[in-house]
Amino acid sequence: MFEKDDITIVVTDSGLGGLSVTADLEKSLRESGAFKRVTLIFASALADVRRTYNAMATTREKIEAFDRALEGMARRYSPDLILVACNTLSVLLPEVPFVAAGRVPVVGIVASGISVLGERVKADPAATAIVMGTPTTIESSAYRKGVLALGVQPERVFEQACPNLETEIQADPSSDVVRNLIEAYADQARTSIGARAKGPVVVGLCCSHYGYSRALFQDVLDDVFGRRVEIVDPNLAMSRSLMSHARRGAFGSTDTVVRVVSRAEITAGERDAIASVLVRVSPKTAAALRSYEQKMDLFDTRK
Amino acid sequence: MTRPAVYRALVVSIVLLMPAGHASAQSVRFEQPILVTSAGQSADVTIAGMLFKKAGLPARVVAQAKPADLDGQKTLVLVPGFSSKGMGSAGIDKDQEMARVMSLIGAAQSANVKILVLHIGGKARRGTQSDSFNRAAATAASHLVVVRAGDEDQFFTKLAGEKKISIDVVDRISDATEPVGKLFK
Repeated sequence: MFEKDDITIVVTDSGLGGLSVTADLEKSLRESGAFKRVTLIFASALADVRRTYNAMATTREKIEAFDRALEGMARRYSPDLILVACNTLSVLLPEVPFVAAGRVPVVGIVASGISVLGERVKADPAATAIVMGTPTTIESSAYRKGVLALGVQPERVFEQACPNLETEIQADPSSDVVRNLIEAYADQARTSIGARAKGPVVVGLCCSHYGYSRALFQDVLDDVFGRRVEIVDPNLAMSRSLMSHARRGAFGSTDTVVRVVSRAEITAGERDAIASVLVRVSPKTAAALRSYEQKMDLFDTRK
Repeated sequence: MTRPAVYRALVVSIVLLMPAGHASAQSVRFEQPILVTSAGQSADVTIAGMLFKKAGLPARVVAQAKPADLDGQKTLVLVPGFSSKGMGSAGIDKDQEMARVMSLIGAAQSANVKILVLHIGGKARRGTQSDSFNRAAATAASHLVVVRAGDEDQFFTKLAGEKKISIDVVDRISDATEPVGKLFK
């Protein structure tokens, strides 16, 4: 893929958090000259806002729904690469038939997140890692297992599920509700880690939405733990990992096109809230979100 | 009877049985043990649990509490606000949630368990979907604590006046800790 002049990358997520990866990639690719032209398509994997992945009863149900979404995106856009910029969906990848078939390379965000969080904690033997994520991500223990596999001791890795936080962030990343929810979950995490809270703490924002509220996380975490807490963001790690393979300067400039497509409705309030954050990094991504394309046939919703 | 019809009948009977309420915040006092639950399955119930912790008041938080959870409780705290994703996560629909809330209110009133309402989600917890929960909870309450952004049209203030329910309106969620603490002294 990195030898081609013109590529298409699909970025997918169950919510809108993956748009931050899209925005970061658009900016990096535009400035890189690595390709003549790049089409970035953010395609939501959510079929219906009333039927979220975290609300699905079984892992099998989630896998089947995500498999259908990937099949549809591949059929419609023929991408060179699919980036799963969603922790909730990334933990499902090893069991998704579309991924096993190998027709299109599929890269999940969890691997990037484990690498950046694990290496940071390994570098400081006194540090404790806290993985904050959705219930699905935390229940999978994917981050914990991954960080432990890097050689970090089990007593140094904690997990904190944050139910519904991503939904509130999507509605308004800087709201009073978001601040107070972060505080509630941070307080639960501090209680869980006990005496280790006195040492250095590294928090992984292991839901792609959380980066939109990074300043609030920093402020609240510092307050709850009584000192500066280090934050690790897998979103940035994912786009940087991809860019590390790019042929910088191969072309005088890279023309970028961004589209946002979704089967599920993205409300005007959500578009405004998220676009106002994205515009600082990538005006094209913000504009694409504001004029998103709702496609009811983006993928099949039944077997 | 259909579920909406059952719900309407419950609302009517509970409103008819409701006490006149309290004239001022000073006359209202709540006691422990405290049960906190959602009315609409928004994430605000998690925040409410933290507010009680900050106020130094032990509280049991059960997002989908049922009448049996009221055993031994002296105060029921309702945190109203509709969330479609919260409902989805809980695996229930709006009618089921409303039926649960109304049965809980009915059980609390029968057992003389006082009801405190915390509306802390601001504008995001207003509108058609949320207001049915807001109204059902507020009209059954002995006291309301409301974050101002959710009362810009004075929905809660007017309701409190009409029903003679005492109310504290605060600017931010964190400001709710103080009035909540005073209610239990």
